[in-house]
Amino acid sequence: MRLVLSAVVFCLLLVPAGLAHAHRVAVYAYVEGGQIKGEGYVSGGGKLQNQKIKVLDVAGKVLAETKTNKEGAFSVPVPKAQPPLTVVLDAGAGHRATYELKAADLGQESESPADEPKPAAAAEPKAATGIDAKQLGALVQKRVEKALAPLRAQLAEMALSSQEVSLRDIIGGLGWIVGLLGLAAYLKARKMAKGS
Amino acid sequence: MHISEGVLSGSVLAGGAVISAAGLALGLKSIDYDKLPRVALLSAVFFVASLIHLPVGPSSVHLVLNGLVGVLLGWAAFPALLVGLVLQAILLQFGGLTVLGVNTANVALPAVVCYYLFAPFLRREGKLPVLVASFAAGFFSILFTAGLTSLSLYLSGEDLSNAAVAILVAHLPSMVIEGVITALAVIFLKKVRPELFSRGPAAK
Repeated sequence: MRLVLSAVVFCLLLVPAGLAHAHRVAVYAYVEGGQIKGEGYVSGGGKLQNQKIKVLDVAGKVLAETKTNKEGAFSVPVPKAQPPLTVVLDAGAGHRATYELKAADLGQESESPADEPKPAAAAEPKAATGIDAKQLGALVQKRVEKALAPLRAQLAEMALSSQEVSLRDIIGGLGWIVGLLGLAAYLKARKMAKGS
Repeated sequence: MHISEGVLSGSVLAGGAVISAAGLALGLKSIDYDKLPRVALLSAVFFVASLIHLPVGPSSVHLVLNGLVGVLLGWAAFPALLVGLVLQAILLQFGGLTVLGVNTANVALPAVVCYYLFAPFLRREGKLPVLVASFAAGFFSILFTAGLTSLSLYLSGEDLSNAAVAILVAHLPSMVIEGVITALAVIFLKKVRPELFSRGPAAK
């Protein structure tokens, strides 16, 4: 019993030390200004530098390739393909993470170039300000993207933190092991009782 | 040590599953009533150990402790490590369920090899052979695991021509750390429960 006790204490001592980090990679991506942008992380907060990023279509065909920079960030032009696209982070040695860009994520890109020119060319002559609709559209988009930047950073942070290991998971796992031990002991004991 | 989903080829996944199933059968057979708590305990130790990161230079390594599990359990390392890996895959999203067979084989085979290589020395009385053998168990279990991980990736078509040495160098601190921790654990256990290392069903 002394062994069991000391091992339990050992495990509990290890838990807080372990919470800080976990060996997993994650990738987060979004579309901005015709580019797929994003970041690669090691969960625990580290950025993944100089790692391969691929953009795949539904069939798994590689549409674009790049690498993360010193800040763990990357950007590639949005490839012409049917959504959803999958952004794959390949950190080597078997570490891999994916992030799916759905049609809605890509939507603003596929719609705006197609819709905008029509009213601009047909109905609207140059306004008194000297800004045509196309320029205005670009300006608005720029402003909106700027306003969205902090929100995006927050989302990236949330996407990352949701993948962190929580104490709840660890205690849950240890509970499972104790439960399995009980089950196995019960089955063995029943077998022994029947055998004798 | 956890290979993610979607990296390995189908045949490697199948091969890993077959090896793990065989090891699992042998391991379950070797567990008697008295050995059960020990298996569960080491399973728990392994489950938690992967969460412990030690900073090494710019990067960090996490503990695996499959050497310790191996010398204490023998073939029963397979069920113990499999349970740990299943829970890590489900609860912590380490690795994944489809790669379970390969990941289990990659950590459990070295554990069993270390059992046969080093466990006999741990039964000795002298301090030095125990110290050396337990350090070696920790050190070589990681070396073998790194080798098997590289092999799984290589067989799946990943280009490792210039990465093989890098992988080895990257795991060097990990091997030394595991060696030290395994040695400390074995020396402690030998003091409080020397019968753990004796042969046969008498071990509790």
